[in-house]
Amino acid sequence: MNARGSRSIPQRLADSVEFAGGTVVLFLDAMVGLVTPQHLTRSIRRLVDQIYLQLVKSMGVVTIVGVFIGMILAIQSGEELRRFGAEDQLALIVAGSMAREMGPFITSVILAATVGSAVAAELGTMRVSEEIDALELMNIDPVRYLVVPRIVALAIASVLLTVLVNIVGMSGAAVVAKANYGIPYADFFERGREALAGPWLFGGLSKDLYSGLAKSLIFGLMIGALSCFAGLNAGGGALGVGKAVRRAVVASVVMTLVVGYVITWFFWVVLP
Amino acid sequence: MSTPAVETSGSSSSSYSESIVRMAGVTKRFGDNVVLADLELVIERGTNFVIMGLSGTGKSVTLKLMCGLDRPDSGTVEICGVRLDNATRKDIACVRENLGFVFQGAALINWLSARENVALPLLERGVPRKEAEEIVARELAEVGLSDIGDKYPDEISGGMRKRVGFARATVDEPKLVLYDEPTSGLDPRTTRTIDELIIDARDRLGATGVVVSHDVASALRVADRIGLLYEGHLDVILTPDEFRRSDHPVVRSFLESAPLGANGSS
Repeated sequence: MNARGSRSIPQRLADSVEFAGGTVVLFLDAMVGLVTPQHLTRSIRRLVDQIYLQLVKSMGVVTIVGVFIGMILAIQSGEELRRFGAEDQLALIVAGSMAREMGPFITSVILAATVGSAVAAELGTMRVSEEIDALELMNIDPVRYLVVPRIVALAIASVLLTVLVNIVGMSGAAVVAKANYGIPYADFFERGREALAGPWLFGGLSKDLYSGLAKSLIFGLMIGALSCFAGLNAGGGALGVGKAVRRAVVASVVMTLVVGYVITWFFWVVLP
Repeated sequence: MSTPAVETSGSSSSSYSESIVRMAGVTKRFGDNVVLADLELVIERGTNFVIMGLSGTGKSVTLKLMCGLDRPDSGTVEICGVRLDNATRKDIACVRENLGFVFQGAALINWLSARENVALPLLERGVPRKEAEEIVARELAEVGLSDIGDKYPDEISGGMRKRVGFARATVDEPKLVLYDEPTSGLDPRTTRTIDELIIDARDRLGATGVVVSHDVASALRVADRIGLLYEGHLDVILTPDEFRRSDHPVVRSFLESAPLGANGSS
């Protein structure tokens, strides 16, 4: 790194605190915009566009990664279970892992890399090409116009894609279970369904499922806020946009792990 | 470099009641760099005022202070009778209802067509869609772009983008239009078209124009007065004729480097 780019550790810490604080303020501002009915109705078209774009951008890669994550989980767990002659427990392990942790985590990392980076780049480019200034001068609040639809769309896309990852992950695992351990598909899925039984919510969601979906919802909101904040605060031309993208992706992935741990602790230690 | 003697034209002593822009004692720093130092400026309603100056002298900063995108470190900025240096968001929004801004790079929203870009300020202000469409069609015709309404910013030339930006800035008939380098990077013919639009905005809409420019020929064409921003001050404020005859070294350097015709126009 050149001399201009190198900063002391206290400076970096101060930057990180400022980034985190700014993101929280932006998120709260966006939530206020979200609950203002006049703003919400005007944002519907932009929201639908964003959901469509974000789902389309991520669906292919999410499907491929989900299938292989399921297959890897199945083969890793299957080999260990074979040593104890307990291959029939494979679906239980894969279903629990996918629903609670792997589904939301994988979806979040993919969203950070695909959508989060795109959002930071788009808003960063708008910042350096004065489009954000233009909106402000037309009395259009950039938070309401740009940020709210992106954050909400990311939250919705995150939940939907997590469901997709869980389904394709279980399907990949089922193929491995059948090919390697001779477990019929019907038995595998039936055992998987039984594994997700437990304390139920809304009559149909087990704790594994609802904790995982809550996690993916929070990850989506978080990636949206981090990416939008990074983009809106980009400066210094193309280099600044590049920095904003890197910052958005790194912050999103790190925070996915940190917040993921906190949510897991809350659901499985604090809640009965 | 020493500060040259102050030169001002007679019109600079105009009545305050006729002014739409008043800046007094404005200072703006970026770190240790003092960009504007005790800047004084009064602009009369219905006139075109061109701010010229070398790169990095604070011309664009001055425009940003005028529209509330930035605030001065000290001094007062009053636009349309409202103090912007200590204004609330509501006050700034009020001023912006009477203000248009033509950006150097047009700053059009990329995913909206030319027509949607021009309609944006109207629709966001609550103008019914049908009425907005009629106004936008008229405005695009004014800038000679009736046939490109459905095209997106990346499908049209830089000159067209600037004209769409101009249409967006003037679509709700603002009292004050700020132009940031409106002719930079344009060919002479498109430059002349933009100049005519700036003059037309003053004559047709009665809008006051504040133009930041490096382009001497263009400045001489559109300006009622030209101010030279130099070492943080706007000490030299002249009519175009006075500007042509000025002995000020920076003015001379601008005039000598510009390809002017016999009558001072390109």
